Amino acid sequence: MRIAFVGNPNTGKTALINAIAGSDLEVGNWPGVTVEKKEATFRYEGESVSLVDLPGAYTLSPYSLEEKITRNVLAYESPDGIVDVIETTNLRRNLYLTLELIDMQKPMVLALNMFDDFTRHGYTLDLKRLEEILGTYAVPTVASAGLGAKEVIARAVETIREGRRPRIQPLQEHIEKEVAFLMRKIEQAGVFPYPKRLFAIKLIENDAFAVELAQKACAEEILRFAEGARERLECHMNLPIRTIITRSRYEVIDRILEEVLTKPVVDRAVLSERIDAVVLHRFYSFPILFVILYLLFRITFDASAPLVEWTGDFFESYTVPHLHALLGVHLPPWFDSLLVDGVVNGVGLVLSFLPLLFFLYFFMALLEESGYMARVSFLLDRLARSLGIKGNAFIAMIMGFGCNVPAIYATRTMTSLRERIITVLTIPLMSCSARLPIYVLFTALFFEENRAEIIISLYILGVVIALLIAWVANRILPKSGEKPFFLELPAYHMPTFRAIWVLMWPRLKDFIVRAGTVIVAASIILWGVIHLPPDADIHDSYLAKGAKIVTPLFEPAGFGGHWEPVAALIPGTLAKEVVIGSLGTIYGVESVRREPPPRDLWEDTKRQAAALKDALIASVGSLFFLGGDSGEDMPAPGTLQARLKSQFDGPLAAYSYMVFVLLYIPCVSTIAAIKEEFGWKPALFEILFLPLLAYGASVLIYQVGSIFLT
Amino acid sequence: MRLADLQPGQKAIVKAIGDLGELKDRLMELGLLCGETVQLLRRAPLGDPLELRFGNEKIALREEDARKIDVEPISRIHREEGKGSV
Repeated sequence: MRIAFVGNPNTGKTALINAIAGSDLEVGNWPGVTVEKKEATFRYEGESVSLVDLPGAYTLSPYSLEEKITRNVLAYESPDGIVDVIETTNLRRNLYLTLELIDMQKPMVLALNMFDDFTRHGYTLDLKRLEEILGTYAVPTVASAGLGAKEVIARAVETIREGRRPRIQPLQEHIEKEVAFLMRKIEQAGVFPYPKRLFAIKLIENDAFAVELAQKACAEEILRFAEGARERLECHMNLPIRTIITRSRYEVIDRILEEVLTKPVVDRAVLSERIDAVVLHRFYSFPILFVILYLLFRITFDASAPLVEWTGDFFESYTVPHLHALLGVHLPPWFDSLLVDGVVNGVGLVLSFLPLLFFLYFFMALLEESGYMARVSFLLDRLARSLGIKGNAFIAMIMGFGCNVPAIYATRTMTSLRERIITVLTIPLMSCSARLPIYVLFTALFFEENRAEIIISLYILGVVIALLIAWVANRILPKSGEKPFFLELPAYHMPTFRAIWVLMWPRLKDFIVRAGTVIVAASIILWGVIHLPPDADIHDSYLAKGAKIVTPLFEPAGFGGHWEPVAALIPGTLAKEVVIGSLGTIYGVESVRREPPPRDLWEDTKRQAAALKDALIASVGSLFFLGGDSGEDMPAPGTLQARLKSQFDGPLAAYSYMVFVLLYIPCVSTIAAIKEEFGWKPALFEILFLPLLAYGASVLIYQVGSIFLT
Repeated sequence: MRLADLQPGQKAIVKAIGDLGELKDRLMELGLLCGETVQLLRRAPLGDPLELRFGNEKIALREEDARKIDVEPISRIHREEGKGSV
């Protein structure tokens, strides 16, 4: 049994599915919207039930890519039943989609979500009467707290088993006459993969999808009749057809609401209005935006620093030596080295980023859930327009600071392919969190005095180049399929932890799985190229041989003197996280077994637990005391640092190297995401373009810098 | 009068919606119909887009699109008040 969950955006479909099927199921969300259908399967009364989570849609005449997905699933995959998830506080608008769904004549149940808000605002609803009118069950729910979820699924299964269909809500008489006639024609013509009544209405509306379906079936007569019906109605009412039908639908809705809804004396959204008066204020809005973004990154980095450090240390000085001690006895040395230095080290690398992403995704979800993200689009749209994109493109770009991959997927919320492509071109230049450790290491070595300024300059450089690229792309790309800017500003609300978790967990998990597999693969390959051919010194390894060939190319960029830093860039295309690890391995820091061998396992475990406790305290502490110096303290200069310092010809060369790291291919995951979303062409373009851009920028900075510094 | 010509805070009745392509359908589906009341809440700090309210909806439109919507103002806001309120 398959049940589709349909509803306007942000009505809580995913949360409801989670509440029904258990939150550990495959339901997930990228920024604010479910961009593809996800399914959760579980057993209910001895039967396997699939819950299909569809992207939010206002109608079945799609405006954006997500709405198209929803319409296509309903049209082509024909689920057994529908749960229409309604934001009860916005009943009038939500019922518009409900009426279209009723026209599909499938077993259906209404989930009146956020019912607590609804009653809190002083509304009352005659549920019985509503159920009577629509011929469906209407279940009040509070998905974020899991209330009503059980009843929704029970009612849905019951409705499907009984094959109960909702009651058709007739439109105006004129329209109904035409619809009835057209439906008869459709019946005579044979089977269409779309519910008859809805198909007839959509044909009269001249909906592109319905017309195309009819054309494919060579149903000339039906098309001709629909056109006739359209002309008759337009002529009779002297209005365009969409206006006629929409208005008629709203007449139905208003009639229903008149019977069932009692409004409060005072309207809601007063508080929301007050917040907006400040947050969208002519003078305060931008300072507030910058403060919020600054705090977002500052808190994220400060709060995660102690934990990132602990995780790194946990693997480096606890897991790895103990595993060596354990495995080295039983396994051949090369296999022990592959397993521990290659695989476990790689996993450790991924996990050490988790605290950072945890905080980043948490605060992003907080901004999204509270309703502020939509305001960012509103504030920045004017700026975006001159780049041929819309305000919401900046949300994707800001996400890119966390990780480029979800940012690429975030472009799905945009309405035209052109905007998506322009935005996607900018995303790899957003300094993702994986690049930060490289900046941190290099600034610690070469820019002790003004580390923060140097790191910020790199972030800004990325943004400036990104905006330049967007500007150029806007001039080059042919204009077509543009849709006007349109944005909904939802009322602010206090996000629950559950709602935030629902938003952030799939992203975290996705990072672990995807980055995990890529980085583990990368670590194995890296281990291979460094340790092969067998018995070769690292200077004769395949990696070294390859790097030595290309190294002279980087002479003009200031870091062509030694092959080691260049060699680290090669595995760095797999993931930026790998660059530092590679430098470590190449300089022989990690590959030499740590001496002395590990102490007592029990003692070490206790030490790690104590360190974790300290890290947690420091992390929570930094949430409350901003400006703490966490992350500022330098690690004791080790072999890696010393070797690195000796191989770079001063700060300028190091800066040039960081610029190259910033701009060249972000990582295979990002390229793979671009390929998945846009096909091979843009992906190949990025593979060729980004290294050239990086090379050009590094050379320019080094050459111009040399003139000024000498 | 055009929707884009309203003062921030001013309310009006929608008279006609011009050629906005698919956006027109979308606005109507959300309830912005002829005869409905619409209020211009504010302009974005950079002058564009505009924030509108109708029914329970708050949406943002660009000025060029708001120019294509004909309205009849129903409340007049004095300049002094307009400055103070939004």
